[in-house]
Amino acid sequence: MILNVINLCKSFGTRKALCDFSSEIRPGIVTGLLGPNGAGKTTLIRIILGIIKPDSGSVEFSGKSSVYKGLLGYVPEENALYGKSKVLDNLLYYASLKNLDKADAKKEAKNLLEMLGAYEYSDKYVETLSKGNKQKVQIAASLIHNPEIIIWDEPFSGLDPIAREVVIDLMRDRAKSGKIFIVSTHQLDSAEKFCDSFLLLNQGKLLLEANLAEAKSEFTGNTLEIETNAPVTYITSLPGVQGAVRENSKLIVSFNNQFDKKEFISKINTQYDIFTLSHHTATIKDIFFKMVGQL
Amino acid sequence: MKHVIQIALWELKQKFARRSYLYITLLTPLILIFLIRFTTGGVSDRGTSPATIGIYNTSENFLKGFRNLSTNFGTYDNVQPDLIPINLGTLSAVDNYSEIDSILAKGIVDYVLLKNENEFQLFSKLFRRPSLISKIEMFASLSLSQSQHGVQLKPQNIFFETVDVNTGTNYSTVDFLKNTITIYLLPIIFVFVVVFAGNSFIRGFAQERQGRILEILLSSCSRNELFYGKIAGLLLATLVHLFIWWIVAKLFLESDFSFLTHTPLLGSLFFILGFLLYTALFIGLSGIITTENEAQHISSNLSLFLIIPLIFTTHVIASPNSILSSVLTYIPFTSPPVMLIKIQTESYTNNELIISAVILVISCLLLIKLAVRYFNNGLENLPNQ
Repeated sequence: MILNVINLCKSFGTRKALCDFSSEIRPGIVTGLLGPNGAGKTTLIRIILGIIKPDSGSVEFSGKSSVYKGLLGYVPEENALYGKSKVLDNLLYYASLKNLDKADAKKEAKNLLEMLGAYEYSDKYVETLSKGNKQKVQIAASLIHNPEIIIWDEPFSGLDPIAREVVIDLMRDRAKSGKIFIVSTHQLDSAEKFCDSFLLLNQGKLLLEANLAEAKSEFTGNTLEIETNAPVTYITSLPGVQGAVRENSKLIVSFNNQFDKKEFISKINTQYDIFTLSHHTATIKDIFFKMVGQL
Repeated sequence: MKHVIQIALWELKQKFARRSYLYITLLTPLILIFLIRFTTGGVSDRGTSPATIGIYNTSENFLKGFRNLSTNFGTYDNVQPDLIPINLGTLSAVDNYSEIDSILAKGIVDYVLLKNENEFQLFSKLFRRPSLISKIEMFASLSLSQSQHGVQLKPQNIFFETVDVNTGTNYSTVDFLKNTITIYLLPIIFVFVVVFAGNSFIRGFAQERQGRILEILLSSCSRNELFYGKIAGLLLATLVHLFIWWIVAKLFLESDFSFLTHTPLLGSLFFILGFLLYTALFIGLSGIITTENEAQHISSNLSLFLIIPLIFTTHVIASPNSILSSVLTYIPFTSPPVMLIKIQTESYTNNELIISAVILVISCLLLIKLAVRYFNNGLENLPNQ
C-alpha cells in the first residue's frame, strides 16, 4: 500500500512551509527525507502524522483520506520520553495509545529492547539514561505496535557506531517486511547507507524524488575529484563549474554541460598545482549540494 | 474515549511520580490539623471580651429574663456576663434594617436581636461567635417561653447553626479563631488546589511541547482526546488529593467542619465545577505556550486572577445576604469560593443554589469548548528545531 501525498500546501503566517508537495511513498524501501533547515521536512512529517492540518491537499493511505493513527510509528528529533517514569512504563503507555494489548506490548518491548541492547534498562527511570540509550528506547517505542508507516526524524542522534549499525539493520528489516519507512536526517553519510530512495526538499518544494542508485549514476558524470592548492573560490569562478566542496584534502567539483575539462586543468595549472584528478562517484551529499545550490 | 482514559490515568501516574504532589498531598492535612488544633488550642470559647446585644421590640419581662440568664449562665473572666443585653426600645419600622446596620457599623453593640411578633431576627457583623449565637437563641427562647408558654422561637437570618429550642443547645463548641479558619479554609484550599494543579499542568505541558512528547501523543490520538484526557487526569489527581484530605478531616476534624457531615455533596459539587472552570482556562491557554518561561509567566498571572474571588469572600462572610453576595454567587468565576462559604454557613437559598449551579455548569461547558478551540489552534504551531 502506497502512501500518497497529494498537493500539500501549508503556511505559517506569511511563510510557506510546504508548497504544492506531492509524492508517492512506496513500501518495502527506506525513503530518505533530505533538505536544509527550513526546507519543510518537519512540516511534512507532522502532516503525515496528523499532528497538524494542511492548508490544502491530502495524505491518502489504504484508500482513505487520512492515515489511521494506530498505523503510525514515530521517532521525533528530541527525546520524547517521560523522564520521571521507567523505560518499560513509557513503552507500555505509548503502546496502549496505539491500542496494543498490555501483554503483547510487554513481549514486544522485551524483544525490541533486547535487539537494541537496552533491555537491562527496562526498570530504570528514563532521566537516568544516556542520550543514546534514550534514543534506543524511542526507537523501540516507535516499533512496538508493528506500524505500517514508520517515520524517524534524526534517528542516529546520540547513538554509538555499533548501535547505529543495529538500527540500520532494524530499519532495513522492517522496510523489507513491507512497511513504509521514512527517515529524515541531516547526516548525509549515514543516509547513503540506508536509503533506497529519497525526497529532497528545499523551501517547501520537492526538488528531487529519486531512487538513490539511479540518482548517483546520473550525477556521477558531472563531478570531478581534485587535489589542488587552489582555493575553492578560484575553482568556482572557472567557466562551467557549478560548485565545489572540500572533503578532507580533496575538492569535489561539479560542473555543467558547458564545462571543458582541458581548459579547466590548464587554467588551474597557470597559477596553482594539481596533485591528483579523477572522476568522482556522486554521493547523496553531492546531489544535495548540487540541487540545493549551497556549494 | 479509551484514549482519554489512558491519558488521564497516565497523567495521574505522572503526578504521583512528582515529589511536589506527594509533599502537598501529605503536608496539607498536617498543616490543616496544626491550624485547627494547635493555633486555636489556647483560645477561650468565650472570645476575648464580653459581647453586647441590643434588643428591640421586647417587653421589660423579656429583658429581665434575658439579663438573668446571661448573668447566671457563663461569665467572662468570672466577673461579668459574657453577654450584656441593652434595651434599644422600639424599632421605628419593622423592616428598618438601615438603623440596625448603622448601630452595628458604629460598634455600639455586637449583636442586634429584633423581635417581631413571635419571631426573632439576629443581626451581627463579621465573625460571629457561634457558641454565643446559640446562647442568644437559647436565652431568647427561654425568656419568651417564660411569658408565652408553648411559643416556638423561629430565628431568621442567623447565619450559623441554630439551636433546637425543644431540646436545648446542641451547638458544637467552636471558638472564634477556629471558626474563622474553618470558614476560610475551604475557599483557600480551593484556590490553592486550582493554582497548584494549573501551574503544574502548564509547566508540564510546556515541557512536553518542547521535548516533543506532544508530537508522539498527537500522532496517536486526536487533539480533543488529548485535551479531555489531560483535564480528566488533572481532575483525578485533585480528587485523590481531596479524598485523602477529606479522610483526614473526617477522622480528626469532623466536629470543626459541619459541612463534612451535612453538605459534603454540595460542597464537592461547587468545588469540582469551580475546579473544572479554572483548569479549562489553564489548559486552553497552555495550547499557546511554547516555552517554560512563558508557562511560568502566564501561570503566575492566572494565579493572581484567582485571588480576586478570594478577596470577595470577606464580604460574603460579613454580609451573606447582601446584593453583592448574591451577585457574586451568580458570576461563574466568583461563585465557587463564594458558594463554598455560603454552604458552610448555611446562608444560601435554594434558588441561589440552583441558579448558581446551573450558571456554573453552563459556563464550564462553554469555557471547555472555548479552551478546546484555543488549545487546538495553539497546537498548530509546535516548535521546530
